[in-house]
Amino acid sequence: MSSADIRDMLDLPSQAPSSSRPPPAKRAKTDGKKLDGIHRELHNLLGENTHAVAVMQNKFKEKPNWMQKPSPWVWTPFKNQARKDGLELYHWVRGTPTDDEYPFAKFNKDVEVPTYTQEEYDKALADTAWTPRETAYLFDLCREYDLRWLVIQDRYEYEPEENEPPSIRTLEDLKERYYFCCRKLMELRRDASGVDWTPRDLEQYNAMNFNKDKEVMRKQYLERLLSRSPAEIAEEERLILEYRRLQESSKKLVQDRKELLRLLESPQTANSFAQHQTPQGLSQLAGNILASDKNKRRKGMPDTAVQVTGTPGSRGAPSTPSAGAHPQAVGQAQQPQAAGGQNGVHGTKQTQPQTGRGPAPASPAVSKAELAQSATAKKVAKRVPPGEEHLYGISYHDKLVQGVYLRSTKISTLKPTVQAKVASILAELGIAPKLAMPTAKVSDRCEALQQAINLLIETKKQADKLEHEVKVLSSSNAGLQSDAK
Amino acid sequence: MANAPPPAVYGGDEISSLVIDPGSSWTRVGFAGEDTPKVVVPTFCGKDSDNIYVGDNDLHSPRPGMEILSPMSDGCINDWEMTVKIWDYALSRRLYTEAKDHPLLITEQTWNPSKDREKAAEVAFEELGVPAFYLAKEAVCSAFACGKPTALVVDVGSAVASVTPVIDGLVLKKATFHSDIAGDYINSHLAGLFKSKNIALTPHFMIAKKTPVEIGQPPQATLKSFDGLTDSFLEFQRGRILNEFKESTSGVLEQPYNEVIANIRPARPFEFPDGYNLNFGADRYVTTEPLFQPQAYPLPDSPVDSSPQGITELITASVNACDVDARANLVNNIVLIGGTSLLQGFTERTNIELNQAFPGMKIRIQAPGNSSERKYAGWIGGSILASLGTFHQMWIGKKEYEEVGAVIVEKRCK
Repeated sequence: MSSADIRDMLDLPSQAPSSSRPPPAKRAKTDGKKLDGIHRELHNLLGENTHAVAVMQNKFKEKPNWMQKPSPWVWTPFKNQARKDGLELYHWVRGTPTDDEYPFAKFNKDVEVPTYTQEEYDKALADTAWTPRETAYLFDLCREYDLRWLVIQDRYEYEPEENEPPSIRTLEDLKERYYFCCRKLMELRRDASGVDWTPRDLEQYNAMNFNKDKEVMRKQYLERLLSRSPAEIAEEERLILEYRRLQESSKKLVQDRKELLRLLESPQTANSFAQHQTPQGLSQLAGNILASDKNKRRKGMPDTAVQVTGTPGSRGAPSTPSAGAHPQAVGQAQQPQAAGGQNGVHGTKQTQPQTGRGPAPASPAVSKAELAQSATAKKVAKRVPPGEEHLYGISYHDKLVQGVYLRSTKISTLKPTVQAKVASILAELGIAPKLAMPTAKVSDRCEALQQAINLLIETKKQADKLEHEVKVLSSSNAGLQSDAK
Repeated sequence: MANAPPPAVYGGDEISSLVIDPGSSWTRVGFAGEDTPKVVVPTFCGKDSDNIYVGDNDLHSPRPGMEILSPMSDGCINDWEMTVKIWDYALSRRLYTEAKDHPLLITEQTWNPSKDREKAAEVAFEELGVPAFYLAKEAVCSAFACGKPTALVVDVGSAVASVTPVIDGLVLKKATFHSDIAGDYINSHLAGLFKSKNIALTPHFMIAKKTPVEIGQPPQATLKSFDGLTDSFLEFQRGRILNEFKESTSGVLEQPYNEVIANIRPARPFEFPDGYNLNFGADRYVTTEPLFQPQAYPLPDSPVDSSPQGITELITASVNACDVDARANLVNNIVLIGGTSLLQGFTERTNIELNQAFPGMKIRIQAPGNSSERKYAGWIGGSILASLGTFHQMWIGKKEYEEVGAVIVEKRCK
């Protein structure tokens, strides 16, 4: 089925009436290889459209070749080169067995434990606490257990000969003896051969410097550390926490101090202060400082406030303290600023009721417009006689909410319990809970009525309470009187 | 790919070796490289005037005059004739294989005397005819089974509870402690409990017919009668009921035994083979308490001596016997294994008690969650060991044995 067939079915006009199929040459160009089966059919559905994007197709794993001969596994004898007896064990090997070295033989590693001759022993290793036999025993154990000292000490069972004193060896005794012997042997051999040590030898020599007393002390400390009681551990943790806290706060303190110092030192004056030495310069500096101080204190306030307070006689009040460093520039910038300041003084005086209405006008034109506006408002207010404002729909508010709202939402709500009682009284009076015509007047009256009802309820409650109290007291009084009788 | 991770080194090389882990109540037998033993047979023999019976079927058949004997004592093999019978049965009649074709690895306790070690080699080479042999410490194998070369192995089995420090795959003999307060000791306590409650422990094989009864009502069962059964056989069969009770009902409190707390815990019902059933409340906790406080809860007729016996005491003694440098590492790698450690609450209790005993150290107990890994840890470790390529240089070959003699065990199997 081709795209032409589908167009035919859906009664669509054929796009290429001259040839029902796209030219085969073009198709061959678009995709390199010839498609077959379902792919070709799908491709035909695309019509003349070409692929917008290249589609990567997931390739499945290649089909295993079932017919190929399986690789053989052979039950083969092998010899382990790490063994001396030539024991032959068997394992499974894939393919043809070879006579290679056993792969795990290379892991057979031993620690190098030096050997010594009797002559060397007599020369350097003799020690009153150790017999040659016991030293040899120690070296054998070291070799056997690859210098795992814990195990060596565990297995150390030297049986002294009759004339030898019985020996009880601690782990440190054993280590000290072994490392002493090793170092002595190294020295002896260096002196005998006359060849100096390589750096590696020297390093090894230094590493074998075993200080028994230090080690014993270290272990005592460690033992004490491990045998702390829970209370001691808790105390220690508390102290550590406390220490952290102090450290933290001291860090903060240092930071604060730094900040303070920075404030005190800055701004770094790059210019000489010769200019401030004249009385004029001094007064200018005072003005600057005052201005910047005020600026800081009233952050967010309109600059005009600052400008207004700055006296015009003080040669202008530059808003930035650094500006003082450029008298020339200040002089140029001063003229409009000063003018604005002077105008501003007038403006603020005349538009007093409108304070806090954003920045005061910077140019005289704007200030005049505002002035005119407020003047009209005053005139209107004057013309309406008092008591007749409502006729003109004029009302005065302390504060107006932005936007449109329903007047009924402005009626204050009471507590739910009180509200229910108010509603029932309203019902008694025959007033619907929702106002039919909530004009401003009606709403006000409704509000007042609600307040009155609320007051009434409160009073009623108090009255009931007092009445009850009176009743109780009088009854007890009566009881007392009857008792007295 | 250039940045592909290096292939993990696979250290295994199977040489089809056999692993036998003889325990006090069960002997585990199987091929190395597998994750559980193929064959688990009771380490008991039935002996009458002319035969030795081994294996589940023969052992549990009531035969007049058959005594049930154990070849083990104190966790070590004592009677080699019976042991060979059991091994032979397991290998030839259960595993269908012959020992002469396979290298053999046997596990042993740390305190196994050297004459028994040499005897093991002799039996392996001369009676079983193995080509190669190795005697591995059970504690080392258990540590390997948990993937640790350095560990403090706490093994609470049926006859013996032991604590063994293992450093780099070598045990510290002088710091190993063991006691007989383990599973069987709990059984004795349970037997005493049932006796005091006048509960007759009628073994399964004696029940011909039973009808269900209400809780606490006398059993209604007709019994088969047997002549000439020995006391040891009856005891062995009653032991199975006690084991069943212990496994299904007993538990350990998470804190030292306190009757009030034990009574709060919900009671559990247990039905005996004859149909009698009862709810057990505090009793299921008090009977296991000797594991931790043997001196406070002794058996009525046998006081416990003052040497370290409870689990915590054993661990503390063992850790303190080690060098101070090793202690922190050991208590951070405690491996808890053995069938009795499967008692409900056992791990928690051990952990809490150890935290009190060593407040300054970080305690970490590794107890395999899988019950078969807990019960067969020694065998599994042996299975791992015997299938490692690097281990094959350790085997004692037949030729070596013939040249050096049985003494070679002492030299090779350290």
